[in-house]
Amino acid sequence: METSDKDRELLLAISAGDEKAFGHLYKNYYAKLITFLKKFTYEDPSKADDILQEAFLRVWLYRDRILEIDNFQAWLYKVVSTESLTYLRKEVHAKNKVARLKLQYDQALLANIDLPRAMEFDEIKKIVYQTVANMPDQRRKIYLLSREEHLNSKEIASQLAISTNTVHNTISTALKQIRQALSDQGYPVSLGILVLLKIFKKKILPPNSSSFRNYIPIIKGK
Amino acid sequence: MHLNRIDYLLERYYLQQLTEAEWPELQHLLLQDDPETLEQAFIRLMHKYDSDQETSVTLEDAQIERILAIDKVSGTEIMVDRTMQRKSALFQLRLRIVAAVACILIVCGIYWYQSQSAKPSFQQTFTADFQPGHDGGMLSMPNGKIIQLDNSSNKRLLSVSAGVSLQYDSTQAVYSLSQPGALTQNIYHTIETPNGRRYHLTLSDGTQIWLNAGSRLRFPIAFDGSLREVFLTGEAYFEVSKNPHRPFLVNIHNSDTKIEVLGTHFNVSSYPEDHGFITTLLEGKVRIFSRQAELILRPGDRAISHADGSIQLKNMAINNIDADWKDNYFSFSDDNIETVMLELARWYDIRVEYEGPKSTATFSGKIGKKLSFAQVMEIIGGTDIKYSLDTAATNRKVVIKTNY
Repeated sequence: METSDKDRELLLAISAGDEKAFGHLYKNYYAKLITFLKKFTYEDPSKADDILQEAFLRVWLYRDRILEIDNFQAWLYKVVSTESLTYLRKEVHAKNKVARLKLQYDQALLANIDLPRAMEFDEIKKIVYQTVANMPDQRRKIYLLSREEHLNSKEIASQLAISTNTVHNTISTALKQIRQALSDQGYPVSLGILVLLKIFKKKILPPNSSSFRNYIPIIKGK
Repeated sequence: MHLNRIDYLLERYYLQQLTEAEWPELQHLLLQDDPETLEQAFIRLMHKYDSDQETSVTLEDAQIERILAIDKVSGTEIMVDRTMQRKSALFQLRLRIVAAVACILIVCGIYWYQSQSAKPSFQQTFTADFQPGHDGGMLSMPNGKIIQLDNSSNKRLLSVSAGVSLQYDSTQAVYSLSQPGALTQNIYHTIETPNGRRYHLTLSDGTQIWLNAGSRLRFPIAFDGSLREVFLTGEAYFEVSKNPHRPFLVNIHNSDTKIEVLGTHFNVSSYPEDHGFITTLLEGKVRIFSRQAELILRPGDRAISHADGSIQLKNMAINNIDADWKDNYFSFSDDNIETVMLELARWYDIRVEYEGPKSTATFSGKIGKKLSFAQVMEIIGGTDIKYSLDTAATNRKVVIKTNY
């Protein structure tokens, strides 16, 4: 199976930085999956939006390489399934523990499993912002022309008197730098999409963990 | 028909039809099955229930905008001043950072730990920095023997007295009775955590105590009287094992006020700088008493015991953050810069000085304690808080320049 023609067209535009096309693609799959996801996350239906949001954040931050995906829908379903299963583990864990009414650490444990989604966006944004601020002049300039002034590669090329190929590569490098910074800071937006066939395995806490050390896994960054 | 058992259970969950017995089974499979199998099962479920029809729930443009705004540099909250021209990007970026909001509430992103060997973050590559504290401390015994717990990477077992054994490594110590009724009256051990260390201790009655940085706890290696009594300086989180016949008593250094417990979870912070101490009850019931006053705490209560013996009650009910340190977080709630720095100072083992007038900004949020000092500062204040570091081993000092 390959990416459908409709998706391919949108993905092509997205890879060139087209915001509208991105909106379309997001909306299409939102309509397709949101009812299912809201029902699946019935304990906390806002998670349904979070799951799709995270998936499409990856699409956007990987737009320069999005065409490398053979079958977009299959990729998306896989990303959504990974996220949903993480959610499910937490819910089932909570349910079973509540049922058992024991173990002093549960509250702390559950608090740790819960990801404060709303906040992450601010921090991600901040990291992106600093990365752009630290880019070499030319790279930053090209990136800002594309992202802020919405110029396409051709327009940027003529404005700066360089080849479109250079523009293309530079934007790709800029995006790569952003992803690297995010990943260095503990936001591995990259992993799901880089390894399309292998799956990003999230570690989960061993059940009934009780020592200090077991709480360490939730660090961010280094 | 379902392909696998997991397919069946996932669908039952989806339809909210799991039976009591199926919940644990689902949990078991979620932990045991390999991710590939689980994902394929989930994807089959998605295909079964996804919809090609129009739904009434549509995606709000704001959600799309939110993503598109991520890698856009203008118009973000970080940059407050929108009146500036768009050109000459770099100059502007700097200016805007300086003008940024004084207080940014950021909860540190909590992600599953993936790889200890992650590359150094980009702040660290160019800034002097302090590394976070870790588990460890010092254990002293009455015979003068001292164990440096930091160095104990392997578990060791020690018979500390007839009938009492101690198992320890650099993260925790567990006392246990190897023979009941052993004669151990009045044998006390002391665990001390300097700044930058903390430790987890299990007493012979099963009570667990987490000792925060810069603290000290003196405790009997076994309890055989009618009372379980320990002595604390600094901060500790207690999970006292229930024993109605032997109340648990916490004595606070330099205070006549005591905490009596029957079996409960609570946090005590009694650092000298705090002037008095704060008891926060998470579960159960404790009695705080001095010669002048007495108070029973209920879960969510926080009591401030003053040096003069008076006790002040504050109910915080929800949002209790006082014991977050135990789970490896700094937690702040409308705290000023001094309170924040005081806590950082203990963990990074540094001295803090201020230059210029102190800021009135307050900080709220939760930050992982495994980050380096510069990373924490970055999250707390972005570039708003200007500071300089002296990382020389003899100084370990940070100067906060608050006149921003």
